[in-house]
Amino acid sequence: VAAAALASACGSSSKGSSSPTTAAAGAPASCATGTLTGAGSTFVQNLALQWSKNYSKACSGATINYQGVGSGAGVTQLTNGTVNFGATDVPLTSAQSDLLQPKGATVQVPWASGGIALMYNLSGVSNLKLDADTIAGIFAGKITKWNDPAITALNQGASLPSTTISTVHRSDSSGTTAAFTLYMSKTSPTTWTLGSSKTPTWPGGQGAKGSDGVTATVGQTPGAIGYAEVSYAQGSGLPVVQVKNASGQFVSAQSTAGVQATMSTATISSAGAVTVDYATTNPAAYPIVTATYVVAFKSQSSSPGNLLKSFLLYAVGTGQSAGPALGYSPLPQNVVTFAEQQINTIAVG
Amino acid sequence: VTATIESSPVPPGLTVRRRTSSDRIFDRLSMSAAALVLVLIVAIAAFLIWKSWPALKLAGWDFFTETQWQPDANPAVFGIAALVWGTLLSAFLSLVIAVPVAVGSALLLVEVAPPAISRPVGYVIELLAAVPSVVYGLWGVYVLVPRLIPFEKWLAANFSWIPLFNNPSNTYGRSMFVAVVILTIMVLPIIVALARDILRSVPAADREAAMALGATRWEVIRLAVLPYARGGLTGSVMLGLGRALGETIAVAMVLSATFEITWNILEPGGNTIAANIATKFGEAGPVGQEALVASGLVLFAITLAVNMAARFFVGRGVKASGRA
Repeated sequence: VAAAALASACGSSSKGSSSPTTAAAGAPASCATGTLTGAGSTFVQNLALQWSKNYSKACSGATINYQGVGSGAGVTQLTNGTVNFGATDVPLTSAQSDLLQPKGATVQVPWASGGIALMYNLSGVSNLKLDADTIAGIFAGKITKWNDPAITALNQGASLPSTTISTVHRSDSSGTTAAFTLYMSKTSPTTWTLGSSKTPTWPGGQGAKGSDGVTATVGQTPGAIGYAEVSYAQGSGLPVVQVKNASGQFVSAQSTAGVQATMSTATISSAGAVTVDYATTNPAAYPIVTATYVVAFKSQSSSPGNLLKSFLLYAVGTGQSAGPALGYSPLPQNVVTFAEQQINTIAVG
Repeated sequence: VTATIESSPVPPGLTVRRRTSSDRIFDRLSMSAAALVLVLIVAIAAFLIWKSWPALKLAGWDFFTETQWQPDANPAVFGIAALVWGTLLSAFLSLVIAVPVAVGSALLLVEVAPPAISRPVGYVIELLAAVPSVVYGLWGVYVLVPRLIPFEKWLAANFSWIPLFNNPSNTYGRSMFVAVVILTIMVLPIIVALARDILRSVPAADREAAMALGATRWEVIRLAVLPYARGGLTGSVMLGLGRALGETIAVAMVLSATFEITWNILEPGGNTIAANIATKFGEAGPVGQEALVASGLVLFAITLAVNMAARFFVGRGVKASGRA
């Protein structure tokens, strides 16, 4: 409490002029002190903890705590006033906004993005290529064998076995599931008819808790395919699917440039919600991507308001360079510009 | 009153006055401790009802018949039918496996094995109860799930005429069956420990009377031990049932989480109230959180009923044995 009471900004939180591509890794543009607490998305947890570490290292006297309790719980904690910021994988719903509104106006800012990889377990096949319709067909239970003509047509030269496809999805409620089902519902609406949801009613397959559970289940099950954030796919050593984008190119989720290319054509609503353009004709674009958001009240007292502003500006600015090592993709410049504008509307006083 | 106290043998240095005041303090303390437990139970129930009321009002009676769980969808559709089914089915099936094994082990420890064997075996069984449930969950995910697949396939191939072992999906792995096996291992030590203590409490005179009539060891168990212990054993099974009903994380880690009422425990799927709360709460929206609390209220009611039933059986057992 004493540290928080003594908090003061030791640098004006002016708009960062540094570009995320040229800045030194992890140095915040300005420093503030005090203690900041945030909670929410598990998707952003690894990056948020890295930001917290980098920020405290550069600015002594600043402590930033982040708890990956889940997006819904994070927004609830923000509404109850027990945290300074909440993090959510899907933009605020109207029900959540209705509860937040009486407590004050909020800003919602995209602050991290990443690709969602499709991992598979198929011995002898290491270069699997799929497009939107086959992915949707597999997860909708309409394509059930690995040597289905729809798959072999995309993988000429590869010898695909007649193994039954075993799909693996999240058994827990997840923003990653929402992003993946959104991709299928937008790019293959006739095949995937179950819409986008954190907990869709899957037509079959196995459910596993957490991305670690999905990764483990795919690894244990011959013929399995599952989705998870890129970092899990990288850690598991399982091969990932090359996904066909709108311009006909096959791109791997492990290409941060591919995720960034899709994000750069995304549109952002005035409320801060990112809409991905899956039809982008950029040949480098990897289509299955998601953005995750931070939410905070617009009106802040000087402590921890100055630290909040400074930390968020760091996160969307130079902090983005900490992403690739952890499986995230740096936000493209247009999103960063929008995010900085929004963060600067936070009134500290 | 004074006369009685004066005549009672009070040791020198310990006045009557001090003794009564410390008695009173002790009475107060123990009374408030007991009252605190009651207040806590009532407070938990009140909290559950208060927090879940909006969701219960929204869903109406459908809350008890609906199988889907989409409380944050528009329109919200959610109900506990499938969850209650999965909770009861998994707990019941785990008891079907655990009870014979547990009672058999307890009989071995008390009636058959010499102390040199029963002491270390009893210790190992109690050790099972000390393993944290998340460790059982991890073990389930990485060891049990892949190793049970051949057995599950064998069951489906030979016994698919039993609805329990029919698997139309032809996919094997994270099924209700795995959850049942894990629950069995988790409730086993509880039932064994309680059953052992109950069997030990059977008066030696009962055993000796049976032996005097020329009964064999099995006849002693059947005629003297089991009738006396029946009530207590039923109570211990009910407490094991309570554990199985409420087990959360180990079950959440191995289940595929579907929302349907089915007998087919070999296909990927199944869900329980506790596991559903664990997997859905973090990401739930406002309605979703209320709905999950409402499901918690149902679980609270079920476990309360089970515990009261256990009390009833234990009490009846004591009375019956008193008559005997």
